[in-house]
Amino acid sequence: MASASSRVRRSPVPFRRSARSGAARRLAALASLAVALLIFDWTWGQGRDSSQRVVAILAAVTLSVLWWWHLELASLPRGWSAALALLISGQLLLSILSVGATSIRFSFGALGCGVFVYAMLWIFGTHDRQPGLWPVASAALLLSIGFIAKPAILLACVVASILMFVGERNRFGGMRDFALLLFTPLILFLLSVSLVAVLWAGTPQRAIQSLLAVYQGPPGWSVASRFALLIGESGNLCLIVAVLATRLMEGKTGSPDLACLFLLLSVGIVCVAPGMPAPPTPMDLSVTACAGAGSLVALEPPGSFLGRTVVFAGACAAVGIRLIG
Amino acid sequence: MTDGVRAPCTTLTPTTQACSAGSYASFASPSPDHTPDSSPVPHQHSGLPRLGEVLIGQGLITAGQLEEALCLQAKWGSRLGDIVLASGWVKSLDFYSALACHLGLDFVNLMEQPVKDFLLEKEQYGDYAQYLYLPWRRKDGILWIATADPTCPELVARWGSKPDVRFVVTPKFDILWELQRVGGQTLSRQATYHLARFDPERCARVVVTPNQKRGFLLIFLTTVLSFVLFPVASAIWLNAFLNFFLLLSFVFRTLLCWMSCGELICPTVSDEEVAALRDPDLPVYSILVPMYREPKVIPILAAALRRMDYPRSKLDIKFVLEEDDQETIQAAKDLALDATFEIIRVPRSQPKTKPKACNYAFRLARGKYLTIYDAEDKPDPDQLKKAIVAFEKLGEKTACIQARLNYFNAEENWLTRMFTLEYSLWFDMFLPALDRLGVPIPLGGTSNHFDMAKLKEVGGWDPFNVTEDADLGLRFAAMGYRVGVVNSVTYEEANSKLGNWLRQRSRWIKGYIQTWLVNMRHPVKLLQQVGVGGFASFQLFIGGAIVSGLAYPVLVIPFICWLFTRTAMLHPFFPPEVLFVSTLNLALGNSLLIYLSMLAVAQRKNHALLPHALTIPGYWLLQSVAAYKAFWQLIHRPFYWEKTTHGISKFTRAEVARALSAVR
Repeated sequence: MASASSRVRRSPVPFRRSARSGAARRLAALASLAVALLIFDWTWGQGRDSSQRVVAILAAVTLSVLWWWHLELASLPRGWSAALALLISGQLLLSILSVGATSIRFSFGALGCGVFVYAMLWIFGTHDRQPGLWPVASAALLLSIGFIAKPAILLACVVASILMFVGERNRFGGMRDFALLLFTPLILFLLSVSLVAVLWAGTPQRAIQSLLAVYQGPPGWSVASRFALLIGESGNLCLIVAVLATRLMEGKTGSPDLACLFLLLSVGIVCVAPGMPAPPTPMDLSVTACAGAGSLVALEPPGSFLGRTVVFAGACAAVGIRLIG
Repeated sequence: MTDGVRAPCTTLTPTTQACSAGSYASFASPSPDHTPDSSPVPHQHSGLPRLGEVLIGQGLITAGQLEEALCLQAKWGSRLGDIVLASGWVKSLDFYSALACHLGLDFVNLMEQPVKDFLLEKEQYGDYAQYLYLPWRRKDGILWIATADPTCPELVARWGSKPDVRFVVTPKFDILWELQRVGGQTLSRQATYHLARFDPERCARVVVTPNQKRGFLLIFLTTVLSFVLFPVASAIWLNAFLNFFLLLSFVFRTLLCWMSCGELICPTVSDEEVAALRDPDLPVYSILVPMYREPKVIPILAAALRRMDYPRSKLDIKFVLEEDDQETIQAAKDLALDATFEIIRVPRSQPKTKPKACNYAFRLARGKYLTIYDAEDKPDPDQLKKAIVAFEKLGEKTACIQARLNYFNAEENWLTRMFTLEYSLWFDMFLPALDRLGVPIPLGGTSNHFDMAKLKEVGGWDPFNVTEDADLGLRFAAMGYRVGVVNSVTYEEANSKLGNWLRQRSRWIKGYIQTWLVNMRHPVKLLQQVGVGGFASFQLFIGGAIVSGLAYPVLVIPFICWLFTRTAMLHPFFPPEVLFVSTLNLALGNSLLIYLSMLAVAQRKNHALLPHALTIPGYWLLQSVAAYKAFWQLIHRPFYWEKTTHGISKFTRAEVARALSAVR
């Protein structure tokens, strides 16, 4: 009796403390995020156009806050969420901005690639946990808006989706029905977009030209310059290696990790292959690596202190290489 | 006593058979200080034979049947009499005669000795039906009450202590028959006009209110004027508005489907929860089956109801038939169903609609819960139990639980396939997601399970609304009640003939327009009642169904004309930007909805229908035809109920044959 009543008396105090400290930590995390972003703006913004700086800071804030929230939902401690959100979002944004140094259109293209890869890997991860109709439907709907990424990335994701879900074809009534479920939106959307493009452009040839023009990278890139750029973008490779190593160390690897490697490999090969129409640039590869790393972290955040530290170090290295470069 | 009344029999010798649970009046013991002579309460002293003994003594049942009934009594917790009646071993007249013997009361046949009309009070009609009694005669200062349940606690509490009241026993069917004979017109008027008087603002009796008329006129004149003055700009704005609205509607529907595919929607009730229910705790469940000119399909439902996993003695099934529909009445009688099934004859009056029939019948229902089935329905056997669990789980504010509907003749032809795709999408994807979002749910036509008290509170169905179900769902939401969805399916017959389909669909769309008009009489009030989410969902779901039906040809036909002719005539009205947006929206919207239909049938594991989903745009064109017909009818015959003929499918014929053999 005594212990029960004492528990009753004691319980409100830690609760109030916890609530207060929770709110305080949340505020502190947000404030540090804001300060860090201001520092980022100050260091990166030297000698740049003021409108570009405004867009960059807005995009950084949005990305960081959204991803911070996503990490919190995935039950990562608040401080780590804020730190990782700041670093990895910042790194993704820096990659996108460096792509967009020549044209804002390329920034949007790179952002599309990043979002697409992030969401695709996240869906593969949820399929690992809960197979069924939902991951297939989500992947199918996402593939249908794959035009926001480059054709090579879309194609790699299509192949990855087949590899990922084909084992479940019998659940969906066989290969034909499985294919219908996975590819109907993509095919219908492609047909719709093609129809509109043809109507818009007048002839199919002009329509194809105008569609491919959307995906063109900065002009005048030789294969050699792409290799050079690829080495310049190695920061994000550090990040993805750190994330994969952590997952391997914590025994969390699964099909999304394989899918991520497959995407990087296929995009990397296409990136340096000559003669590809609208090829992905090394920047796209870099963005893919960064988004992939972010998605894997959000899917199942590192559980141990060591794991978090390794990911944090990878992110710091990525940002450092980017800023120094 | 007067002639025609049988005196209680006292000649039976009590047997030694254990019959401890054999008392009809298991819960109403008379007060010991009441003498048989001064009280109307039935005698329950040990000198009278038990009911089971009386039934055996009169040769109405065998000892084996009594044993079976006693077992069921122990299992179901019902009274022996109810079990015997529900088993169909004894004719109703014979049973009640024996019951009179058992209780030491007189028996009266109301068909021979009808009640005196003036003794019935209009305000008490509900009580008469609920507690199964009628004031029968008044003679020498004594009021004789005819009752099918003399031990009913409410009846005993009300009349038991009055020295000038006596009870006589009569069959429950006679009570309902007499109640309808005397009070039929009053009940019919109540069924028709109760909502119009009780809550006129929520009744569709007035199609468009004067304020709405002024508003629509203003919008119409402004549109015409702007088209005359600025034709191109007006076309662009109208096109942009329609496209934006449809795009929102598509996105909303996609979101609902996406939610329904995943873990976000859990099954409402598990099999374990159903198994945990105890039969003795189950309440009386009323089932209304409104029908009109559907004699052929009655056996399907009768067989399905007999398969229900629910104590039959606790079912109160009412076939609700129109008085002039002798064919169906005869078909129901010919089935010679047990006493669980009753026939309610709805007096002839206008509007002759299903909601009016339901309003009429639910005033005669006795259940704590009530559901509605169509004549050709095949509900899952555990549906009633699942609904009860769902009511308990979802809380006190839940007024209705909607079961999922689907079709048993999906593979018959293209139309039935499309209908099945649509129903799978609606009931398996949209409604569970709406439930999860906590926004108003437009109910389906059948298999909606109501909490009777709350149904009475909202005033029942709107007899002037031809989709009374959708309207009722919104009315519940507006009054702060919740409508839930349960993971149990009722299979119906999909329309396999185009004309029949058009009639049904145009009625539905007309009803949606009625529902939209009723709810938009006071948009701000609606917003306050259902919240921003509920209001938006209402506009996108109900409004979206109306607008997409009406706008589809407006958007498609000019595009197809332009595609094939490249006519310059349309150029001024479709500048490239507008054409681009509307074409994209049309193409993407169609693609999206095709895919959602695929997901719905995949969810149900009906994979054979997957490829057929690709042809669904043709079905939407048919819907547009129905939408224009509905719009026209709303102006000319707003309350006309376009009858859907059931029993025309070849699958139904096979179902009827199977059901007949099961029933007989």
